[in-house]
Amino acid sequence: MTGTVSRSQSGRRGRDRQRLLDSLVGGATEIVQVVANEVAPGVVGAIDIDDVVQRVDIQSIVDKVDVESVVDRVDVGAIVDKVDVQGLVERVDIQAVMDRVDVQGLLERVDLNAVVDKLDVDQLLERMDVNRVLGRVDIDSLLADADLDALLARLDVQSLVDRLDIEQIVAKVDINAVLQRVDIDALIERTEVGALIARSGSAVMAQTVDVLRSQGVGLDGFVHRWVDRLLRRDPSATPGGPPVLLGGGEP
Amino acid sequence: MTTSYLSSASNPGLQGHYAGVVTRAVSFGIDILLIVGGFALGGTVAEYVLSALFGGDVRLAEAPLVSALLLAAWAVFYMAYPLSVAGRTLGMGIVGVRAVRADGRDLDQRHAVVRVLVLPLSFLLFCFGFVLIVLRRDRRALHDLIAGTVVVYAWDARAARLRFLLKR
Repeated sequence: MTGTVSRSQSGRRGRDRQRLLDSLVGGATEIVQVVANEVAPGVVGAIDIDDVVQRVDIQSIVDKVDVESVVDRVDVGAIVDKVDVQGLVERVDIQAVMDRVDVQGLLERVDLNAVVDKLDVDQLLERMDVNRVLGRVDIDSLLADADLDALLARLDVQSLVDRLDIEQIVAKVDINAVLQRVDIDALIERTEVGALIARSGSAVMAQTVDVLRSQGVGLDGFVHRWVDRLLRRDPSATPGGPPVLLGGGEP
Repeated sequence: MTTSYLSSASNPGLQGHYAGVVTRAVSFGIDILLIVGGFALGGTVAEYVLSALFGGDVRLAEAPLVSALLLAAWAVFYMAYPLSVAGRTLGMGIVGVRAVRADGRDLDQRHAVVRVLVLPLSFLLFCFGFVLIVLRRDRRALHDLIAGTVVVYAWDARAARLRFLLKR
């Protein structure tokens, strides 16, 4: 009997303790929530996001990422479909990003053929203003960093070209703007226009002489044929030329 | 060795065959033009130089005998020198013929000079010497008979024909 009374008393004490703890924790949570609500905006406002971004070592992050496995797991087509590529491209300072990335190291780690296979290049190009993108990229510095030979050796260029709609790309390129950047004078200086003209001139001269000579030979035959006819000579008895020149005798 | 009538289309390989009268007449005409033109140009230069050297106004036209002798000398040199060196004058080279000895060997100096010196004889008797080109089967003129020479085609008509066909 005594055991039964003591067990019910200890159970009541435990429930009281639990109720006390719950009320304490609830109060503390409310206090912390109030403090956080008061402090957080000030802390966030005090952080310089740009400074934080500048302190991030993008290269080390890129180095740690297993790019290959990430690429394998990504449905590039679905992502491209969802992204406003043109808007994204316009908001990014491509040159600054390029300056901070080890292009060569990144390219060596990527299976370009796998990426290209999963990408609908034509659809991507349809949504992009190629001229504006090209205008914002410093192609010279980009090319200076990349080992083009190694890159091309790993790329199945033929399959890529087969999938491109060249006509569509050319139609989107401002040829006049490109030509305005070409130094035509320097280009002409490097060609052999003079030699070409001289060669074509000599060819025309040779052709003209050939025609005149052929006409002369034809008239020779005409005249001698009529003379033989008038003199009743046998044309087959006409000697062709000196024996030495026709291979009939020794000089 | 015999052959049928000349025809650049049916028989394009005419190198070494006797040249016909039309081709030879054209080459002779070109040579005459070059001789006269060269003499006129050289005479003008000579008159200018002589006038500068001796003063006054020197004119070759005022000395017709000297002018004729100079013209004859120039004509002989113009024809004999290239004939002895290359077997052809400039006019013959343009139309594609050359002079050789009767048996086909190359001309030497003696044959070349004799051929040029007796050339005027072909003009005698209303150019009867040149008519022989038409009448004789080997198409030799009087001066060719005297000098022991013949004129043959020297251009590769077959190659010219092939070039023509390739361009079509």
